[in-house]
Amino acid sequence: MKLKGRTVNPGKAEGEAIVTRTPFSFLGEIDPATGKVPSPNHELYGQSLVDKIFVCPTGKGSSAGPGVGYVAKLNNNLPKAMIIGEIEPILAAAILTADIPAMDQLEKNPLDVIETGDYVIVDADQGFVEVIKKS
Amino acid sequence: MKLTDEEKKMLDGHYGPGTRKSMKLLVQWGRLFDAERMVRVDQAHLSISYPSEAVNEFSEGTPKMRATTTLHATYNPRYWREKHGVVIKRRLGGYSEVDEEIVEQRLKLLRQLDVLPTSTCSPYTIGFIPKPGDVLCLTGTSGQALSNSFFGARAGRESVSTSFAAAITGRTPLMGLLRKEERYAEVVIKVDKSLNPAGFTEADYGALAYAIGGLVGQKNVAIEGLPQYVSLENARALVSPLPVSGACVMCHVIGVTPEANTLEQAVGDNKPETLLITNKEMRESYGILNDARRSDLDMVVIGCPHLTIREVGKLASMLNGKKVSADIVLAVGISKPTYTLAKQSGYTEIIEKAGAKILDCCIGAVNPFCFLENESRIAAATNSVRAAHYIQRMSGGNTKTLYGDMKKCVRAAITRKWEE
Repeated sequence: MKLKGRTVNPGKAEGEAIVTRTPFSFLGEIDPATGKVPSPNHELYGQSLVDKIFVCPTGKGSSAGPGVGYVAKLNNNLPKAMIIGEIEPILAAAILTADIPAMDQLEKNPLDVIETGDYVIVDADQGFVEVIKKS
Repeated sequence: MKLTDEEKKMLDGHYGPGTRKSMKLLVQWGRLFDAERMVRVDQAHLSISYPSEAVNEFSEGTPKMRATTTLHATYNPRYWREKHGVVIKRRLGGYSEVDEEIVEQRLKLLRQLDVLPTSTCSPYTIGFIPKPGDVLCLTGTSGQALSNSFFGARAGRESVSTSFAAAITGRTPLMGLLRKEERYAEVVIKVDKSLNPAGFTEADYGALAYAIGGLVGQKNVAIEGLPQYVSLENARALVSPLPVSGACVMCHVIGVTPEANTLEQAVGDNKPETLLITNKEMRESYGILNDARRSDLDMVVIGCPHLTIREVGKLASMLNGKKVSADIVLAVGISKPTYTLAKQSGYTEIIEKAGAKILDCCIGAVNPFCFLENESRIAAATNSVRAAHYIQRMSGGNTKTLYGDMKKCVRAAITRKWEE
């Protein structure tokens, strides 16, 4: 399935999807030293975002997020690309600062069409996403 | 987005790679939120938590900040160790470096860019009071909320990286709360008369706002039914919790704040819903902020956000001739410039003689006494919603809180007893 969308930050990447249904903040929800989700209350607790295509509905919270994302980048602990339902200013700042290829506003809500484990191609240069469902 | 010739030169690399990268970040950011152009920045306010590598990357080749730039509450590990014998072994709140040398090297980097080492969450307590309409790129939601609401200045949803880029370029995209049409109230809150708002302490203002933040989320709010005079200290007790339980940094108080002479002026063309705050919501707030058993008290936290000089004077008169209980840490947060003035006024002598510890750092979310290895404070009393909320969370649940006004907190520091 191929879906058009808006480029948040250009670049291309492909890989395995990991999906959260909760608004995401780099502060407290990714450990920059490991790339794993450190908060026990989070649905992805303990899972790694490193080299994944990370899908979330929107961003939230702390203005410190972009600093954390930057440290994760220095440690090579970032997702390869991100797909966001609808971006908000703090998450956008974090994505741009760490230079992660990213798209939002797809033709369909990414949370409805992408599941953890699907193979996803993100082409934020051309402005589309391709989803290959896991069998 | 329309750029001026000067902004284009920044984007083209004429002023070096750091200015180019900063301008590129702001242009991309602004495009996502439909900014038509850039605006001049009157003040930027930065965080020490922004990594040195990022500071270098986004400033390379830039001799100094183009905007007047102040610095948020700083970690001061050497001072904590030398003056208070406090040594932090783990990262503050799980993310920020507290290594003495890293912090000092980062401060030096920022000084080279002519960032003023104000080290406070509240630059308005030391003279950085914006004019109505001024554009501010502030790290820290408490300052954003006060500036938008009570000073009529314009402060958007900034982050550590966008405020840094704004300081470098002296520009920020015209978006969000910087646009007049996005400042109108989207929810109206009525404060029930039976709550007797005329008699509100700072703790009551805080509890009220903690309830409101949870109800409105990130919407702009207008509050009806508050007294027509609200002091600066009560004003920030009122607005600081809004982005703690919610994400609101624009709060009109009808008849009080500059964009809300009338309800009509505050709501513009919006058709907001109206919600009522009664004793029930107030009691819920107090309940969440008081999650400790009173016999457990062993820390008192005053000065989140940093105290104004008036509050330091009030604290000094409460502590005059008294002694803080030997089992209690009374942590007082103020900025260095306020400390200097308080010292000249004789306040610090009284406060320190009583046994309180005055710290020029954040004593709320990253209170150093909550991050001691092998030690967990059992309960902290505070008159700050922010401190209570974040201490509960950032200490990993090790610290429980008690919440009430300054008078009650100081009495508890002396007697070690929390009076209901």
